[in-house]
Amino acid sequence: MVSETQSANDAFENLRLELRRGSLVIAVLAALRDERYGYTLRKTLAEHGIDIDESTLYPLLRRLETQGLLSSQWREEEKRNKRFYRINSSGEQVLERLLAEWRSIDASLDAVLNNRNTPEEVHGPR
Amino acid sequence: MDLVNRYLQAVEFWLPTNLKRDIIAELSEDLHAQIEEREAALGRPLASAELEDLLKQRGAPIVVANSFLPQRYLIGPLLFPVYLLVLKIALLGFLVPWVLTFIGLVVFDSAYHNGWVAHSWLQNAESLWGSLWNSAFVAIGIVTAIFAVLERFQPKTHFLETFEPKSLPAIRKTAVIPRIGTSVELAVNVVLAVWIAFSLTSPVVYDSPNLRITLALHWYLFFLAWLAVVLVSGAVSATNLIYPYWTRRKVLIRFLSECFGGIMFSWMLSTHIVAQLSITNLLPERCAWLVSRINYWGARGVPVALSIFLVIAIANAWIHLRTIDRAKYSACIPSPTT
Repeated sequence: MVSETQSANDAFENLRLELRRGSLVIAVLAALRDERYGYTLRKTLAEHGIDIDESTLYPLLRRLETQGLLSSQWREEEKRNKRFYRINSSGEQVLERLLAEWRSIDASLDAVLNNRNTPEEVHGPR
Repeated sequence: MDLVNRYLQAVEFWLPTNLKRDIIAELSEDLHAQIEEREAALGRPLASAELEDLLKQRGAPIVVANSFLPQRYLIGPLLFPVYLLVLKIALLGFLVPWVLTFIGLVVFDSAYHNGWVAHSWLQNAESLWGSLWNSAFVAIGIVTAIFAVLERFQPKTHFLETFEPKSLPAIRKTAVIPRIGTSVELAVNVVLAVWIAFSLTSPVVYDSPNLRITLALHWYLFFLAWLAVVLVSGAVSATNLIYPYWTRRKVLIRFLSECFGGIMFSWMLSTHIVAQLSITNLLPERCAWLVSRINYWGARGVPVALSIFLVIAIANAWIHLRTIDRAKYSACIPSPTT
């Protein structure tokens, strides 16, 4: 029984991470509408309930920059060299399209769930 | 901070040269920012244990470095099943002939034979295992190297991803045993059974004006055993004709009867089974010499004969068991109850 629960928990954790992976790109692109460096970006996301560890964030930033969606520059601030990131115009366009896709998936999911559930389950008891 | 620098150095070691500087600078900045924030919250410098915890949370240096790199494979997930299949075929096609050749050399080549007899059982096993392992290692190495090269080409050519639906192989009806094959098998078994039954009446198994072969007096023991094997095989063929599906029971019966037949044949070879040979225009002394050579090589050939029979029996059983498994998981082919 314990192993079944454990395996269900493991499966949930894997699926949760998979589900979050795509949405992290949207969150990072949206957060970088304001210029930030890695550490403050991570903190900003965490404040909004999106925890992301360094080993995920920095490779993601690097990939988005390679894909031409972000621009970065090294600059000194508070006596330390920091790399500042900001979304560029291509990134803005891609973000808009991703958001549209996100909303479309959300609406479709809603429709699927509403179709399956009873009205009480969807809207609560009347 | 010595610990942080050591950590950064360890991460740097696993990074490609062109990325080292950039990644380490950013990682260093992030680490220092986190440490400063933690120290500000505590109002004191971090203790060594706290710093260790912080670095542990970041992950092992090789893991952190790897997260910055694209996923790389020696053999990727797409090619891997093909690799495994080819590896199995290569090992089977390479090692089985190798073992048979080795046995053949030990039996027929006097130098190998003397060397084998001169050493203890353990020494021989050690030497056999050593050479077998070397051969297997080379076979695995060659297959792996070829697939590693193919892996480099696959993303460029997509040769595994292109296919034509019409060129797909037709559905295999492997679950059904073809009745024509079974009929031929049954006919052969009947002819063999009749011939063996007749041969049981006299040790002269072949008698023509030019050639006469007489077996030793214990011939009937082996012929009786073969008659039993042929009858069992015929019975399996007859049931296959009525119910043309392999079942585990049928496979087991056939496997056991094939093994038994093989053991009896090999045993017979070792018992100087040929008693007399008469050939027209050949002196009796010459015929006697021929009989002794046949019996001598027959006895020397026992391990080879035994190995061949065993390989055939195992291969047949494996093929039939796979047929049963395929039928079980095939939606469009009726599956027999086993």
